[in-house]
Amino acid sequence: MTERDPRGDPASALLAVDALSVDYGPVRAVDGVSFTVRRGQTLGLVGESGSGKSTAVLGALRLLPAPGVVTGGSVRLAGAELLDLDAAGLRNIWGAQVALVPQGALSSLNPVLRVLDHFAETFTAHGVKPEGGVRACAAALLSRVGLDPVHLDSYPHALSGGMRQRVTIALGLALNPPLLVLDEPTTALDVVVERDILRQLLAAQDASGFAMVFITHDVALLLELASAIAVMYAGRLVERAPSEVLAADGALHPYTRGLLAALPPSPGEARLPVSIPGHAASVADPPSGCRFHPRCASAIDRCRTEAPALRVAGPDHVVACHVVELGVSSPKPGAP
Amino acid sequence: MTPNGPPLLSVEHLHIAFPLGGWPKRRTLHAVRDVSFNVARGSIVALVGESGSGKSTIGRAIARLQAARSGAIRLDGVDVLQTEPRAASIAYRRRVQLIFQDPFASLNPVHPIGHPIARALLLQDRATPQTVAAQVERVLESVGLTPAADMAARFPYALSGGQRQRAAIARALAVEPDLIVADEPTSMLDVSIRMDVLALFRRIRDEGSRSVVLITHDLASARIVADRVVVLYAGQVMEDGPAESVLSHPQHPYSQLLAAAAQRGGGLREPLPAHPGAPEVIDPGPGCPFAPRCLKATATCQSTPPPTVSVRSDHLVRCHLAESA
Ligand SMILES: Nc1ncnc2c1ncn2[C@@H]1O[C@H](COP(=O)(O)OP(=O)(O)OP(=O)(O)O)[C@@H](O)[C@H]1O
Ligand SMILES: Nc1ncnc2c1ncn2[C@@H]1O[C@H](COP(=O)(O)OP(=O)(O)OP(=O)(O)O)[C@@H](O)[C@H]1O
Ligand code: SF4
Ligand SMILES: [Mg+2]
Ligand SMILES: [Mg+2]
Repeated sequence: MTERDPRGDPASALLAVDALSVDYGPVRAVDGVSFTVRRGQTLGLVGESGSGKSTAVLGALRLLPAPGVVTGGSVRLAGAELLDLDAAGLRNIWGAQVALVPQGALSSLNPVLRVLDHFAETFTAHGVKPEGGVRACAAALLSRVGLDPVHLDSYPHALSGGMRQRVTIALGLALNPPLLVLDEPTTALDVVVERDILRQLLAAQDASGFAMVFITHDVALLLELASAIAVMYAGRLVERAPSEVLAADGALHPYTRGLLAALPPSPGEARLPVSIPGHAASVADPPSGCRFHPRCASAIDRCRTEAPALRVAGPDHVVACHVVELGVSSPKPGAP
Repeated sequence: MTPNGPPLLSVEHLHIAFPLGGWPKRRTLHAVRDVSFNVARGSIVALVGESGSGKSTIGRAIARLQAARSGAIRLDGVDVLQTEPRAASIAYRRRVQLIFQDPFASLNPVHPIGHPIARALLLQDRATPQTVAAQVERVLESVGLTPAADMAARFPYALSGGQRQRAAIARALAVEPDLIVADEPTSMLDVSIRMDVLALFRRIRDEGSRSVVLITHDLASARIVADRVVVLYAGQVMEDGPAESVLSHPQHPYSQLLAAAAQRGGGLREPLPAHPGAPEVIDPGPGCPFAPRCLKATATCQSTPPPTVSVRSDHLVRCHLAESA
């Protein structure tokens, strides 16, 4: 069963993913996920490890390795249906219309190519001749992510984890695409470099107006960075809301509320982090009904049998939960 | 909390350099410069610091997967740089396990993830062929890889990033080494699972004889589990002290910058309290490597190497401005 997004304005969106499903053989890893990203906007994507975030974006961008297969839905990028494109059409889109900064930076860089060659390949693939030459342009891109251009002549193995990650971010920026999809792009960066790079990204976004889909486990970061946040649990979208709403205690889904309650408190905040009890749900053998029900303190009988549909909870805010009474106050995590 | 007695591991004046080629003069990248720190038995030491500051290089050297130019790495007093062959003996690998930073590259793609765990358990006679499957499942469950029977049979390609990371942790734990060097082991895990993994490290520590070197960018994790914190910048130790003291009252300007950057809510567009730039590791000048970014730097900082000052008992800071206790 798919959960259609009841808010249907995909026309105004740069990226409109609608009811996307992705299977690995018999396993449905992504089940009817919908989200939109407007031009210049940043959408944050969060969810437990294994909940299908990487699968959803790789599937949407047609970059999913076998045995993953997109089995349903629609993905429109600037109006064009990505799921219908042939290999040649996809090659034109990748890098130029949308760039992916993949999770796991080492395996995404080619070990036999120097850093400079990666930039050269990206430019050649799209017939781009950068002003001032490839080396100068690549050097400028590296500087933007805080890397000394001396590393243009390095091979990936000679770079630290965070340096490789910064190379993949610089490669994503190379063709200045209108959409940048970043999958855990700062996991190997110290907080100082992370902040420096995010500031660069935001400045670049202000200047050229590109949109971002930003996958991370750092929810606190997303509350500042993203305009909207989509939350996945065991392959499904459970809530999507403007960041301000989540930051102002407006999260409705018990999983989202649990996620926010697990954040380390900021200094001066009188609250202890509470972790979500129970085991992560497996998409290989998902719980019946609402997939969160075995861990949910608010679950009622209906949650065990019937999958909740996404319902509109407010402007740009949808939630899939039987118990949430829309327009009324939200359940507190741990409340009976 | 740190027990007395000789340290399990002691890193002494470690220097690691990589030749870079170049013409007419070959250049050298000094990744690790004069690094010293101790890991007491039954303790967790966090290595934190700048991306590219040499943390993984130090970790690989401890695991004997990386040669050093000079210095010593003593395990129980024995300098393993002298006694262990490059790439380490099997006996050494049983005592010291490295969890690699990149789980996408470190798991063997041809085996299901349960395989290396089963092998470790059988090799050390901690399981019999009859019990091994159940024990593998126990190890996988301890890192939240459930349902464990299904997970044990999965190949690495069929796991998400965070699941691979936990498979790598499970493999290292199964060996029950004396020392675990965990290189960013929880970077792809959500807070809830991260807490569970950190609790595992704490349990190992609390057994009393085993230790963990935790390389992490997450200061909150370091605060939760570490007994000591070593802060690195440009291949050098900037600060080394009890975790609470270093994290709550950082003395070195770089540690203070890290702490400031970890604060949320200041606005992502606001610049950090530091000059922009990156350290020079290829032809480092004579002074403090942090001087180009440091708001407090003086002319002396640029020209003279800062001394290592003991600011409190057991708390070292390498800075011209540090005042000794
Ligand atoms: N080839 C495969 N066969 C079966 N299951 C798979 C395969 N590849 C991935 N999976 C499963 O699909 C689910 C989604 O994986 P995905 O990589 O999208 O998760 P994720 O949300 O990105 O997690 P993480 O935060 O850990 O990176 C996981 O539970 C994973 O085990
Ligand atoms: N094989 C190599 N050849 C040349 N230089 C190398 C090699 N391995 C590491 N380096 C260099 O050594 C320095 C330290 O790298 P290291 O991987 O130890 O950093 P790190 O502190 O782990 O960083 P990160 O937090 O980004 O993972 C970097 O400048 C890197 O480019
Ligand atoms: S030695 Fe000088 S430059 Fe270095 S951290 Fe201290 S004050 Fe800053
Ligand atoms: Mg992922
Ligand atoms: Mg590293």
